[in-house]
Amino acid sequence: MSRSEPLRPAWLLLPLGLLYLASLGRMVWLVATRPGDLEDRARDGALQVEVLEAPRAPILDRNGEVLALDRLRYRLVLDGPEARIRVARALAAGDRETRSRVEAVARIAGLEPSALEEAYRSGASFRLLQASLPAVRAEELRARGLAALGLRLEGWYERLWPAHRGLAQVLGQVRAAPPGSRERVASGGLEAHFDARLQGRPGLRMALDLPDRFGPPPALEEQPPRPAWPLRTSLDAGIAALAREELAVLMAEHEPEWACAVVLDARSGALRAALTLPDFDPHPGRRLVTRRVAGPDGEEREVPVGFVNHAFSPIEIGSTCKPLILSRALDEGVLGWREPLDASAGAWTAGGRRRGEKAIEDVPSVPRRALSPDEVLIHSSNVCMAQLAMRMGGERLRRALDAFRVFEPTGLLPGERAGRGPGRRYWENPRQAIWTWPSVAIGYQLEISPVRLAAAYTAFLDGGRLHEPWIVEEDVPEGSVRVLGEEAADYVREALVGVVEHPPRTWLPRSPDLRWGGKSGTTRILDPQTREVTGHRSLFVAFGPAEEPALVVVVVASRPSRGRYLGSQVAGPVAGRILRRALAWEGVLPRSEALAALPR
Amino acid sequence: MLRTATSPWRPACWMLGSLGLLLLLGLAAAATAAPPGQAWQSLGLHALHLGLGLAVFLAALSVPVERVRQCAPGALLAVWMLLAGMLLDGRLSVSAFGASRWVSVAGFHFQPSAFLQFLWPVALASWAARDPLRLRSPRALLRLFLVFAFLAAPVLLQPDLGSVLILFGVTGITLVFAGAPLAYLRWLAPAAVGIAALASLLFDHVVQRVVGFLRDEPYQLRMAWEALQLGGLTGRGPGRGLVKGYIPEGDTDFILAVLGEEWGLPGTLAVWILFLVFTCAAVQVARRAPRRYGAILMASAAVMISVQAAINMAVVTGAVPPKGLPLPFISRGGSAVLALSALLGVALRAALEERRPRPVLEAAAPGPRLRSWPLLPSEGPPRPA
Repeated sequence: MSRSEPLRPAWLLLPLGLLYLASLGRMVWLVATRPGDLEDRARDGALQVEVLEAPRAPILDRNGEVLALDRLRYRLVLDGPEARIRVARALAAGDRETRSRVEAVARIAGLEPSALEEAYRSGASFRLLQASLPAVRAEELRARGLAALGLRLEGWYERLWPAHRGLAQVLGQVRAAPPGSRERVASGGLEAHFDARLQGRPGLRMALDLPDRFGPPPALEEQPPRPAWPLRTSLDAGIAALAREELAVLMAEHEPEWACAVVLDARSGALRAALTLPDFDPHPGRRLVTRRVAGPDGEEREVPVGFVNHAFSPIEIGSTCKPLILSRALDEGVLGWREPLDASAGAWTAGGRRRGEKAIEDVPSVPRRALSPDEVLIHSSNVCMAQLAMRMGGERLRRALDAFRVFEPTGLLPGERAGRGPGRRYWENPRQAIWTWPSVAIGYQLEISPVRLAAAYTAFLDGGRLHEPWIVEEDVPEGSVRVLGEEAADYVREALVGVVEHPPRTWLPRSPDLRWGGKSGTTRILDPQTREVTGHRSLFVAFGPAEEPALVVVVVASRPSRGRYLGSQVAGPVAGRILRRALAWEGVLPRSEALAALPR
Repeated sequence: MLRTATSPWRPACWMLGSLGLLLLLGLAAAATAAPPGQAWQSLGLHALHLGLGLAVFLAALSVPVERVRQCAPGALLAVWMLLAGMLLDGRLSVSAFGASRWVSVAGFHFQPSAFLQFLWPVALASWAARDPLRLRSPRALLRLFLVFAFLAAPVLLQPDLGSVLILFGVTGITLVFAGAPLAYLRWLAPAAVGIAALASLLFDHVVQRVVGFLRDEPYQLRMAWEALQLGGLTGRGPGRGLVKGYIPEGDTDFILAVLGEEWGLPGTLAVWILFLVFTCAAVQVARRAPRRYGAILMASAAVMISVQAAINMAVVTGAVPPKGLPLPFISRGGSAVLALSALLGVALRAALEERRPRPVLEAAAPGPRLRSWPLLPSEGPPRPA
């Protein structure tokens, strides 16, 4: 290169100019080749929509007591990569101030300081440090300046059932699914049935999703969550608790497989309690009652019990069905008010009894004579009911049962099965019908849920008007349905009082200040394969006070195993005690009786 | 003061004008690149940096050049000691993104290596201007590069390979600009490759960056291109960027992408044109500088600023592999603004300063200095008109 080269600076700047030209070319190229959907893609990626969970609405009982509510809790998470690295280095360098801050946070959060320091050192960009902190602790932690330590508090709602005893199965459960996640799933009971109603309207926070250095993203739009109104119910925590106490006594005394109780308002159909023992504690982490059950492979396994509420599961109702049939027969004039039915033979069979042929028999305590309609109920004569069924015929029997709506599900809770009766051919085929009708009249081959049974009995207690059961105040059925004439209803009610007051039944609790009535039922549990009797089911439907019935109580014990199994002996006393204590709770009797254990 | 066709004042005005517009663009970029709701805060901080830079520029402009020349070696030594101290004692430095380049004083972070960008050209120009014959002596040049290696070693170990390569390139260009034979350039390219190879052996991230750039689109670049594409011809409007929040280093090294998204092609073209005008004007100032030292220093400053801008724009647009360099006077960051302002102030003063009167005897005596410097006015006797 010549010493006098005049363009040297320009030549020197040539590479620089090429770099500039390359940049310009790329700028223009990028703009010219812009994809059409780039804006949509960028908008989708940048816009962060956060759903603000609304607390589930509380569930209240009829007195306003809280049965279920959401409580705000906090998770403490390590989620600030840059801050985490900074703190980890400060800890490694022995920075006293940082260490003291970390220790203070660990102490408030209930963590071991060494565990928190290990979390900083671990290098994980996200770590759950504490799953459940109360609000007061969260406030303390916030005051410590969590962001500088790379920590964050996440709020979440925890469902509590402060008055779950005796109501767990009706209320149901809400749990995180999968465990530890923020998603909650309601299962069973009112929680599942009114899940959408209880959730309220979640809020939304739309913001630009920005990296850490931008700090918390500013909200572009925020709709605050709107919690739903409390769900007011007809349930009564006090009645449920005392019913549970009495059922627990039954479980201890007779050791049944399970026992259930239903308490229903006789004048409105409002369900006060419907529980089964064993039950469960809905709070997470509580131990479940288990039972050893043989699986299909013959091996026995521990399976949790207590989730099934038998109050809503149809079972054979036995003699508790008799008042339903008899009242309709009286109401329709099939049976005269004073017309006796012959129980002298002690057994009944189609076309007269023959050797070796199956028969419907009375228990020995039933007098062998003609019985008036009320005596048929008082003595629970199967023979008389069989005669009455043949007199009524299949069509009338069906109509009688349909009138009481025993085959309709109540629709109160999810998973409820409808009641069942014999199939059409058993009703209509003459060869089958002659056994089907008498069987139905004494409650065999009829599967009705205890809640439905209690509702059917309200017809006897309110002048022949049947009250549909209900739980939620927003969902109260309109009015009642007349299914009987007033005269027939009152007649049967008095007969049922006579059942309790029948002198030999000394095991039923009686007192001068309370007249009450009821009807027992006992059914056999057959092995589905061998048709052998494997156990019994004891039922009792009680109501009181007799003059102005306020409550209906149904108690069922399945497979009592201490010898006694008759409904009036196993379930009857418990039903009577629940009735008495519930009436005391309602104020019909002295209130103190509701709280104190009754003499047995 | 005589202003003729060869006067440096006119290009100096162009240079300062374009620089002023760049500063305004920098303020606008600082406001728009900020997170929503923090525009004023970000604008205030950048304005503070620029205000300090302006103060430093005016201060440098008012200090006699000779004094700066005298102080430069000592200041270089002080910066080197600080850099070495940061390497030896980790407590002196503040780390970020795997590098320890910052020093914290009273809560303010600054980058000592940035001041090499100011002090090294001042010292280099002084060295080259004092005796043009040195530029033809391989031994002298070797000594110079040994000094450079000594100074750059702590920066390289931080690690900050980019700054070292920029300083190396500016050194080479300045020397050739000052009169070193072009034949020596052939040694510069292998030396630069050698430094790059050595650095790639020492630092994995260098190779990873290049391989990542060649093999697939790195996230940072992809987001920057998306931003430029979203801006298109008209831009999305100030503060309305969609992807600016996703661009790593969106307010420093990749601020051009944010500008492109919100101000569109006119915004990026304005930056491009202004830097080009600045470079051309600065070179003209250098060519017209009455004194050799001022010419060399002005050229060195122009190259220093322009190279960084060109590389930054090339990186953001994807023309070259990514390198963490800020866009001068526009990216957030106080150290670079202060260093470049000081460099520009000293260079402008040196370029505009009239020659001192010389003794007649010395001036009349023709010396070898005149022959060794054919292009730029030397500090020797005045050239015949």
